[in-house]
Amino acid sequence: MGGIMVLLIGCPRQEQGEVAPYDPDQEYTITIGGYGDLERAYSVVVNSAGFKAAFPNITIEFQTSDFNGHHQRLTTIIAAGEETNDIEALEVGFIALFVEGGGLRDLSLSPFNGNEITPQLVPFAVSNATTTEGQLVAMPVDIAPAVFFYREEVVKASGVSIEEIENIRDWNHFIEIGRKLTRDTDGDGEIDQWAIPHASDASLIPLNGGKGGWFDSNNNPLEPAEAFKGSLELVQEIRNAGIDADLGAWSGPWIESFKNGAVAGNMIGAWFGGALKTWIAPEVTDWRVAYLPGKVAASVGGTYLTLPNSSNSQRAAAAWEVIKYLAASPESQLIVFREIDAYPALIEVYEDPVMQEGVDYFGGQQTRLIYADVAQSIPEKTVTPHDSIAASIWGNAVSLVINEETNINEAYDLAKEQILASIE
Amino acid sequence: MNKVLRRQKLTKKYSSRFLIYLILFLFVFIFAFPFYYVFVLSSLDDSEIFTSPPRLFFGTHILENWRILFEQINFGRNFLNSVGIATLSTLFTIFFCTLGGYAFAKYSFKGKKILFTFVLTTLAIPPFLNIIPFFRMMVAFGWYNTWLPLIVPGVANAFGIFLMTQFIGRAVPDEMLEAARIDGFGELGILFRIVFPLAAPGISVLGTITFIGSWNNFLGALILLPKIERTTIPVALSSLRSQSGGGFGAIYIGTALALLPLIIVFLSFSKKIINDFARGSIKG
Repeated sequence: MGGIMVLLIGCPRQEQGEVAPYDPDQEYTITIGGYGDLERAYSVVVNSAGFKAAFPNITIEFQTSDFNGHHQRLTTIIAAGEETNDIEALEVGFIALFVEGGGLRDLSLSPFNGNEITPQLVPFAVSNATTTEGQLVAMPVDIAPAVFFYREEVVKASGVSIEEIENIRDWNHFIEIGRKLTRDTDGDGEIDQWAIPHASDASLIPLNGGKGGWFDSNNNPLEPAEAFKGSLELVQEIRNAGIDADLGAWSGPWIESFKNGAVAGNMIGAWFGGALKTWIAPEVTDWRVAYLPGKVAASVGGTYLTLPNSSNSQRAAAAWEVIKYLAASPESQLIVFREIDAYPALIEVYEDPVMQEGVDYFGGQQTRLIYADVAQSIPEKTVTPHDSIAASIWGNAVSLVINEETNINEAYDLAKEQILASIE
Repeated sequence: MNKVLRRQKLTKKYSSRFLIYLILFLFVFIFAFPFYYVFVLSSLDDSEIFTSPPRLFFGTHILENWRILFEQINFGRNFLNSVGIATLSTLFTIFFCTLGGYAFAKYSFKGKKILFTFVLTTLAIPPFLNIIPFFRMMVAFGWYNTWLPLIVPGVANAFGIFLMTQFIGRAVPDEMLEAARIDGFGELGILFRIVFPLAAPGISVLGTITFIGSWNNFLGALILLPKIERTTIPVALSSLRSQSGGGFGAIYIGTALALLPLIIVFLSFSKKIINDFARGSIKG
C-alpha cells in the first residue's frame, strides 16, 4: 500500500473531463465504490420510497471491499488514471492522500455547486473536505465525534464516582482518575485492569479536533510547537503512569478487553458504540458514554463521498445528485444512522426525536445528544496536500516516545525534519 | 540372559519409535491445527471469536454464519470464479513455463544467456512497481472486468520458467532426447512424450504454487474484477467485513470452504511430488 501511495503522489494531476449536465429524463446506472457495511446502509436508502420518488431514473450498483482493500483499489486506479466508480467513498484520513495526487473533482464548481449545501452540514466535517486553496473535494456523509466510553460497574468498583468520570476536568485529572482505574482486581499481585487500551489513543485528540492540523497558515509543519510537544508529553505521561494496557487496536486481546474488564474505558469515535453492542461486547450491560477530558471536541473517523477526476464525466452530474441525497437528505441520513450507527453529518437531523431517545445498550442514556454536542464543537481544519505524509511521520514520533522512550524534543525535531524533507 | 537382552532391545526399539511418532505427531498438530481452528471459528459468533482463553471446540453458530455468508454474497458464483481462474491459470502456466524451461535447458540459440538473465532480472522488480503499468495495459487491451488479466500475463512467468529450466536441465537426459530424434520424434512429440512425463515432479511443484498463488490473489481480483459476480472468493469475503470490524463468523466459514480446494490440490500434488522424487532417488 505504501508503495502505491508513493506512485499516487508522483502521478501528474489529472484534468477533470467536461461534465455533462444531469438530465432527469435520462436513465442512469451509477456505481458506488465503498467499504465495510456502507453498501448495506446505502442499499436501504436507494430502495426507500423517498429515493425512488426523487430518482426513478437512477439505478445504483455497488462495489464493496474491506476498508484497506477499498482504499488500495482506489489508489491504484486513480494513480493509473483509469476510470473509477462514479462515486467513491473515502475515510477522512485518506482525503489528503487523494488531494495530494490531484485525483478528486472540485465539488464547489459548477455544475455541482457543493457550497450550496455545505451550510447544512457540521462545519468541521466540511472543513476536513476542503483544501487550503478552497477546493471542496468530498462531501461528508457520516462523522465520528469522539467520546469516552466507560464501564459503569468497573469505574464504581475502582472507587471513582460516575459524576467524576463524566466531568473529567483536564488531562491531568484524567491521569489521576486513570491511576485509580488501574489496579489488581484479583489480588494476585499483578495489574489486570487498566484505564484505557493504549497511550497513543490520546495522541491526536488534543490536536485540532483530532485532525492534526499539521501545517500552519504559512505552511510550517507541526506549529505551534507547544501544542504538538504537549501531545507527545501527554502520551508519555499516560504510558509512564502505567494506566494503559498497551493493547494494539483490533488485536484479539484489544477486542477481548472490552468484555473481560481489562480496560475501564476507551477514547474513540461514536461508531464504536455500534461495534460494542453488535459484536464486541453485546452481553456487557454497563458500557456508558461521557465527554472526553475537559470536554475537548474531536473526531475520529468519518465517511466522505467523492467524484474522482477519472470517473465518468457523462454520469458525474447524476452521481452528484445521488451524493447530495445521501449527504443532505434527512431521510437518508437517518436510515444510515439506524442501519449501521454511522453518525449523521447533517445538522438538521440532530433535532430529530430519534436523537433524544435513550439507547438501551447504554442503560437508556441519551448518548446521541452527547455525540451531537461534540460534533458541533469540533474545530474546523482544512486539508493540506501533505497531510497524509505528516500524519504518518507524526504516528512514528508518537511511537518513538511511547515505545523507545525517546526524548520529547528529539522526537518532535526529528518529525519536523522528516516532514520538511518529504515535502521538499 | 537372552530374554533380558531381547526385552531391552525391544524396549529400546519401541521407545525410539514412540519418540519418532511423538515428534511426527507434534509436527502434524502444528501444521493441521490452523486448519482445524478455521473450522472451529466458522462455528462461533463474532463475540465468541475473541475470547480468552480461546474457544477450541465447535460452537453453535455455524448455520447463522452460513446464512449470512450465502445471503450477503453470491458465494457459489464467486467460488466457481476462483476455481475457473485458478485451474486455467495453473494449466496454462504449466504448459508455457515447461515450454520455456525446456527451451532454455536443452536448446542452444544465440542470446540464450542474455535472454535467460533478462528473464531472471524481472524477478527482482518489486511487485508494487508493476501494478499501475500492468493495470493500464490490461485496460488498454480491453481485458478489464474479465478473467484474462488474472490468467494470461502469468502463464509464462519468470519464476516458473526458471524452475522448469532448472528441473528439466537435470531430469531430462540429453541422450534420451537425441535417441528420440533418431527414432523420428518431432520436437513437439519429444516435448509431450518425453519432457512432460520426466518433468512431472517439477510440474507438480509449479502447479501447486501456481494454483495456491492464483487462488489467493487478492489485489489482482480486487482491482481488475470490479463486478461482484465476476470476482473471486478472497475479494467477495473481504466485502463481508463491516465498517466497525464485525462479520468474522461468516468470513471464517467462507474461508473454511475456500480452503477445501487448496487442501485437495495440495494433497494430490504433494503425493505426486513425493512419489516421483522417491522413484527418482531409487533410480539415481
